[in-house]
Amino acid sequence: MKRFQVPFVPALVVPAIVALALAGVALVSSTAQAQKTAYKIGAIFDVTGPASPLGTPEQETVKMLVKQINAKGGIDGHPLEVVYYDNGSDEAKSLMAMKKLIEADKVLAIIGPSQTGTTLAGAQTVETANIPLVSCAAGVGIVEPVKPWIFKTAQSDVHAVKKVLDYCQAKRYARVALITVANAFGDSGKKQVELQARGARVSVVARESFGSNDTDMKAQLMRIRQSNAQAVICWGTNPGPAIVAKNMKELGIRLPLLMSHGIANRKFIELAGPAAEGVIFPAGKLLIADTLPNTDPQKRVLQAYAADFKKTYGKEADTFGGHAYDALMLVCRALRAVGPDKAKLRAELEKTKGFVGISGVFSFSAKDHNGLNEDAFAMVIIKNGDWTRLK
Amino acid sequence: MTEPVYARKRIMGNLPDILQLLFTGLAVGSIYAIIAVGFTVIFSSTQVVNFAQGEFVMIGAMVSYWLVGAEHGPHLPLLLALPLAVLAAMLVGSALGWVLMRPLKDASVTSLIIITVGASMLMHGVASLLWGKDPVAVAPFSNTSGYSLTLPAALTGPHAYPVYIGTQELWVMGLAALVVLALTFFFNRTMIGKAMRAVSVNRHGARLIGINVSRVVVGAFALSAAIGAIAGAAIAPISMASYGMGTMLGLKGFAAAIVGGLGNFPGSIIAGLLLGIMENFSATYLSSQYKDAFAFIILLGVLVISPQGIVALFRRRRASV
Repeated sequence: MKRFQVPFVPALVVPAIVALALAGVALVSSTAQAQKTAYKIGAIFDVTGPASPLGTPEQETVKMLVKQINAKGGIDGHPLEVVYYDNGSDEAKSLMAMKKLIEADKVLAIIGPSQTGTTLAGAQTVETANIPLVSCAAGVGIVEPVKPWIFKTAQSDVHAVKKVLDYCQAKRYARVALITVANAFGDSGKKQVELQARGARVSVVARESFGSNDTDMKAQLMRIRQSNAQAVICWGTNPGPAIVAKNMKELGIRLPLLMSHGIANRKFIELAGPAAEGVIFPAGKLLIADTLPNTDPQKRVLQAYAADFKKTYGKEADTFGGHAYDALMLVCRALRAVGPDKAKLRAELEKTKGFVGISGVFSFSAKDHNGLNEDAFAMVIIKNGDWTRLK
Repeated sequence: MTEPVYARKRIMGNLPDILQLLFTGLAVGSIYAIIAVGFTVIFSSTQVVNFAQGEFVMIGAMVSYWLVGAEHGPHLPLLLALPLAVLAAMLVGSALGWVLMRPLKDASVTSLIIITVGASMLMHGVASLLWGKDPVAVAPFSNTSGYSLTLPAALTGPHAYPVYIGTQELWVMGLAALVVLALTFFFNRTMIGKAMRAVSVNRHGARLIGINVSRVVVGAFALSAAIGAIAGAAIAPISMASYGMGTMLGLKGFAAAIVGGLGNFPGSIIAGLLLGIMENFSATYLSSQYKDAFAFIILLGVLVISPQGIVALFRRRRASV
């Protein structure tokens, strides 16, 4: 019996190898026929693993844009080629992918990864290899202190906090209560509020936290109720903030509820239901592109991206995809200006002024590798289950 | 003269707060309690700590969400969806029990425990593929959201807040009580229940008098999954449901099971309720930052003072076993 099976395996494998080799030859010959050499860049996103809600739209956005760019004749006639890696939201894999891109694929620049941790994991490697990297992650640690070869496109929470505290100052809320989720996002928001509060003439009178999987926040809110706060700032990502909003309504706490850009998604409205009404938060402008005044420089770019994404993938574009849009477009712009030279690309990126992107209008400098300010956010209130821009 | 009056007012002024914390604490505590009971049911028949217990809770929540409210789901009425969700969890539970009892019957208890950890990861992963990673809102069991109870001003002083009594919290407590009653009946009055108790007392003895031990164990897994699923379906409208919700709830339930004395049925219920209440009070009166740590500090404390659990603490005083 078994003797008959032995030659069966090679019988399958040999033609498979031949077919693959033939396909490989076909692929090489077709690229060789292109008129100019391709510009090759790398893209690492957290497509699978816990950060997949970030990495997935980012990779989709880049794939869509690359098709568009090449359809229009590439970059000065050079087709754009992107090598994709999925780091599985894992820091070690992220570093491996960066090494592969640098040493094996020999790319000109890297865009991504999606998270602060996965970006910083490879920061040292990128710096010593002298290759420009434009990250799509939010953490301010990526660009502070400035690393010469590393840039990022996502807005920092520094700007979001500034926007929220500016709002408090305008409304004359002198005392605020803080309730934050006990993870990196919440802790960073909390730290920023504490840092910036004095400048905004706001004092933090209560500090509470909740676990990302907590089921009920009434106990924390009762403490806030006992404080003399005039407004509540909640910093977290779903589902915690939705529970906070619900519990506040249940306990009859009528203070204004301010939240972070972590709830800038339909999911929050869906989770909190009627309790979402009246919640105010800073959001990237993609969310409210249609209601922006025509004078806003970003309006056309935002609407075009949103429409393209919807047409290509049949779902709404989101902020994360926008970060990848900015990263790719910034690199392309620099490539168009200086051609395939890593050092020149880096210098050109740093010189970028007034680039109108999805996450904001970028102006980089030697000291600022995020290039955004609080104007990248707009204050938004939830009304009738939808977002309305606050003037 | 004025001093005691003031003091009394201060305490009474806190009365609504204390009642509020007690109420929400009891609701969350009932969930911990029934999860702890789930641990107990499996532990007493197999000596295995089933770390997939939290995932049964998740299955109950996610399946009932999918049956009732999901966009592409069948939109069943809750009365039909709840039993189906419990049934789904029971199927998964019995499958796990079968795997542990049949192909792996010769493995040591430690290996079996590790396998339950693996099973938990598997369920976790499958759930994230089936339902995605976003948390979902689940409709409450009844339409009225809750009642704000204003205590008489004579009791509380002038500026007291009302106490919020959530309807879903009442459902949670009611269902938990029902589960406990049903289990008491099951273990004391039915043949299968008695067989399970027999297996927990002496496995070999039970086998000798003709009880099919592996069938009893599979039954215990199914029962424990059913209990978990009920907890999940009941808490989901309060906490929202997601593929990852089981991990922390499972751990808290485990802490309650240990504090109650692993394998001790009334102990785990008392410990679960206490854990929920203490956690809530500590978040308000100590620090919310260390709320989760608190549960595990209690766990460590109890293990140091009385490794047999809190009930054993009282029993020892009465000098019985």
